[in-house]
Amino acid sequence: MKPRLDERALLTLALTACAGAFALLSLTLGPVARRVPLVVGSGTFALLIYQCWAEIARGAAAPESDRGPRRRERELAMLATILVLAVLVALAGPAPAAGLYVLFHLRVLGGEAWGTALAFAGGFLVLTTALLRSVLQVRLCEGPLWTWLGSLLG
Amino acid sequence: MAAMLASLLPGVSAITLSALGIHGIAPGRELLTTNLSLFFVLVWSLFLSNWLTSLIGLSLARPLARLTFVPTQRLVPCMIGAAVLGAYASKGRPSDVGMALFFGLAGYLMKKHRWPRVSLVLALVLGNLFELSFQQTLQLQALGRISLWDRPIALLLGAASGVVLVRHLATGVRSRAGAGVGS
Repeated sequence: MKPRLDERALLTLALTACAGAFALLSLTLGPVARRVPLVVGSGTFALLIYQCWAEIARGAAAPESDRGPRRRERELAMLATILVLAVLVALAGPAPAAGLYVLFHLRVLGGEAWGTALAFAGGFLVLTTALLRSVLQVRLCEGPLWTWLGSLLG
Repeated sequence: MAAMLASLLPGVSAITLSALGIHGIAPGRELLTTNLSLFFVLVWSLFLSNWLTSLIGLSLARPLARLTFVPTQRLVPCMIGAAVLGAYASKGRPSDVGMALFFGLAGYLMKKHRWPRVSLVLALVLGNLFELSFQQTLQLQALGRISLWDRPIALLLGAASGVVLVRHLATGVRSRAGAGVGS
């Protein structure tokens, strides 16, 4: 029986790696401070290793499944839009990024008409910016994109 | 609710515990002594919110029900955008947005693969408070100010935690063994 790494096993491996890394990081603390993190981290790490073994064994025993390719595609598309959003936040600041994201998502993933997508995105941007600036008094930061565009325009 | 907050029974929601933890307030006896006014604020808010929910809920039930007819593909981007702005608005740091996106993705994967999320949230929020109290207890014991072995409630709670952990592990191992024999 050949061991197989499915998505659940990969998630368990990632959690195991995180627990191991945190347990190792606790070694850099002082003798008193590292007591709790080391005990909890080592215990969690040991349990997660057992869980990893169980997941990989379960993946090997289970038959190969080809269910849900459509769902997988939707998940990957969603992940891609989230990554686009992260890049937009870094470049254009949170408020314009959220507006652009709504436009991009509605037009590309939702298949909405340009008019509907623009109306939704514009309405969302105006409403949230007004709420954040006027009601919550939040100062919205501008991303480097606007500085760059400003320098281009002189 | 009063009994639950005072005795830390499991009926207190994770969100309430987290909110108290964020403000550095320990639920339990301290809430009924040093923070009595906050305790009554919680009780009265619950009382008022129940009345308001009933009044507003009954009057707006019909128009709010129409929200369910809004297509998901239009709601999802607006909700994600609002979540991003909410994460930014709390402290005004763009790095919080990245953290929110990362934990959103992690939460989705954990939900999809049936990993418990509440325990992770509790650990992240209350872990600091727990560790601080635990270190203080150990130091007080080392100084001879208290002795854990003379405190039946602490011993009982410790033993109960151990029993729950061992029982949970044993159930997991037994169910896996059963599945292995069955297959």
